[in-house]
Amino acid sequence: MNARDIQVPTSRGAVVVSYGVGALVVLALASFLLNIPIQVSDSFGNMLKLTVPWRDMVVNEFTQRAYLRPMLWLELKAVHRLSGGDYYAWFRGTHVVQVLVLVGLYLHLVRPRTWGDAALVPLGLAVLVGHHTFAGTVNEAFPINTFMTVLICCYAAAALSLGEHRRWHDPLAVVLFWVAALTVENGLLVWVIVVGGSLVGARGVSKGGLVALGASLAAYFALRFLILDVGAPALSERASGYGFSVLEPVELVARFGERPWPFYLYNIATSFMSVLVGEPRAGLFRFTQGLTLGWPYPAIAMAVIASTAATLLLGVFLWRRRTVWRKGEFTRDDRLVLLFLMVLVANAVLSYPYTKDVIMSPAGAFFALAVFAAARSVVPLAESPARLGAALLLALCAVLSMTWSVRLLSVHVELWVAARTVRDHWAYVHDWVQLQRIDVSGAAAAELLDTLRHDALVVRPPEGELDWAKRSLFY
Amino acid sequence: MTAVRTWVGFVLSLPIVVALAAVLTVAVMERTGSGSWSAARPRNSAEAAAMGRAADVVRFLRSGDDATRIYGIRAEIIAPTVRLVTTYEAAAWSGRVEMLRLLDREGATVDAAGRRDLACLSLDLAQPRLAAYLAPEILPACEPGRALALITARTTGE
Repeated sequence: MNARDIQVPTSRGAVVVSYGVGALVVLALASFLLNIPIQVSDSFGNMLKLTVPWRDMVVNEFTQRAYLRPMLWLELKAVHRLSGGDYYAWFRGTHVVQVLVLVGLYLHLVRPRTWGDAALVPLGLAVLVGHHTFAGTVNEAFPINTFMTVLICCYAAAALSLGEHRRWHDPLAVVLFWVAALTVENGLLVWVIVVGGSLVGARGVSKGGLVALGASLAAYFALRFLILDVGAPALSERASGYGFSVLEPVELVARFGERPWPFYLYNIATSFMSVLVGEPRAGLFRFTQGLTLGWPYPAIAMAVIASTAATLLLGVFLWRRRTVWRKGEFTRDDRLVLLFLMVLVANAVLSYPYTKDVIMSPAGAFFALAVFAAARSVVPLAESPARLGAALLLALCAVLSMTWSVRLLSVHVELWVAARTVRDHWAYVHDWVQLQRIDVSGAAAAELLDTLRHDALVVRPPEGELDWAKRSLFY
Repeated sequence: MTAVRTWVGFVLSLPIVVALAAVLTVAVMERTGSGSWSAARPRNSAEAAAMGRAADVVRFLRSGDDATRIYGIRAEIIAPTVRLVTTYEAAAWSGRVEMLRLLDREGATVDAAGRRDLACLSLDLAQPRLAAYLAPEILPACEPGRALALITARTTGE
């Protein structure tokens, strides 16, 4: 327990209001999320594979190249089995529950205790769901969004690490690590979070737990590279943003096939920058390109301004706390900010083969924690007698508030557009199936296709024309 | 001091709270169909086809619409002079071959003469790809502007 926890009395009303705001954010997201039918791309093909028996699925997923994600498939298979054919309700319902858990964990981590804290909760949650790295965790699914699963594991790991030690923390931290790491490679961040937490004085996971986590990490690498020889994704697998253009796999191989390190370093650096300043996105400098052409696209500019303003706030916090940190003293808010920095670096490094907004979603989620912690510490400075400093700070906070309110709207607009796009995909699904050369000649595959298409187009009618959804400020 | 800090925080959160309220309002209005944007929804398969809204086309056809029947459509969908069209004809205005293929796939049937007329309409609308899809073997000998004039005449009575 840190000094702040002891000194600041908890206002029950403030806590209730904070969680109430969280509930409204979940309600809004859920409402738009539930409007999206199960996707065609990434979901239908995956669902076809789920008819394979459990044992075969496990064997298949432990013996494929480039990816080691058996938990992803086990999670999908479990929900698929439980659904009993009611796919929309179960898969979309799971997604909504995930959003609820994530927002709950966010509030648990930032611990709003006072009315001053409660006043900042809308900003914190707007940064969480409005950050450009978050959109990919809600507007697509496979048909469970595995990045969202990893976000929950990362937040849960932080909660274990930053909380008071309990006997069950250690085994749970190890379980979280394995679930996350075997769901998608980003899950390795659970190790970074727990170890990082202990480095800044958090004692929620014991030394024994840290040793077990270290052994788990070593076991993961041994399993991946020595035993199963899964390896890492190759350059030839996906197109990737580079500078002002997208390079196709053939171009990537031609350009970096012999010496891939410059490309990997580019991905790491741009992933890092993307979270802090909203540029580049997926390796593409679209805002800069817009500036060179005269005027950047408004939605991209808004993301850049919002992220940069939040980073400036973090900068003020870091500057003010630097002397205390040198003495090795850390409050809970300090730990949240330092954990963000560690997750940011590690997340960027893990993005070395391929960069995409959603891959940086763990760093984006910890960015939201750090911004709340920084705001809690920095906003009171607005009362400072140094008028210029106070005015500048208030101006920064005003920019933050305005831009993140737009970003909050943006994520819902993206969900609206996704709902529309997915329904169009289902309307033309037969063309897509032909193009992808997916075999739907079997009775089970044809039935699944018809069921999902009917559900998307007839059971859940398409949404109306939302003019503001087309406005370039949002999307 | 603390009270001032709290009020500063609440004032700064106000735009975000307003945005959240707006999102929730839109969600409720969408569910109840009371938003002004709901009025812009297509009202039949012909409107949906002209607007290029494939998902709505399928929904209307599955609900009993006939792609070869003439429907009344609103003036703003295609043009004030084109208010009575079949779903197939409306699809020509969408300019998408995929839309015609979708209608074919959904079980709508148009005889050879009907497809020739549609191909002529597509040529009148400067959509040669659609014409090639509708009459792939031989492009029909069309009198320029006649197919479009016939459709316009349904509305204008001329």
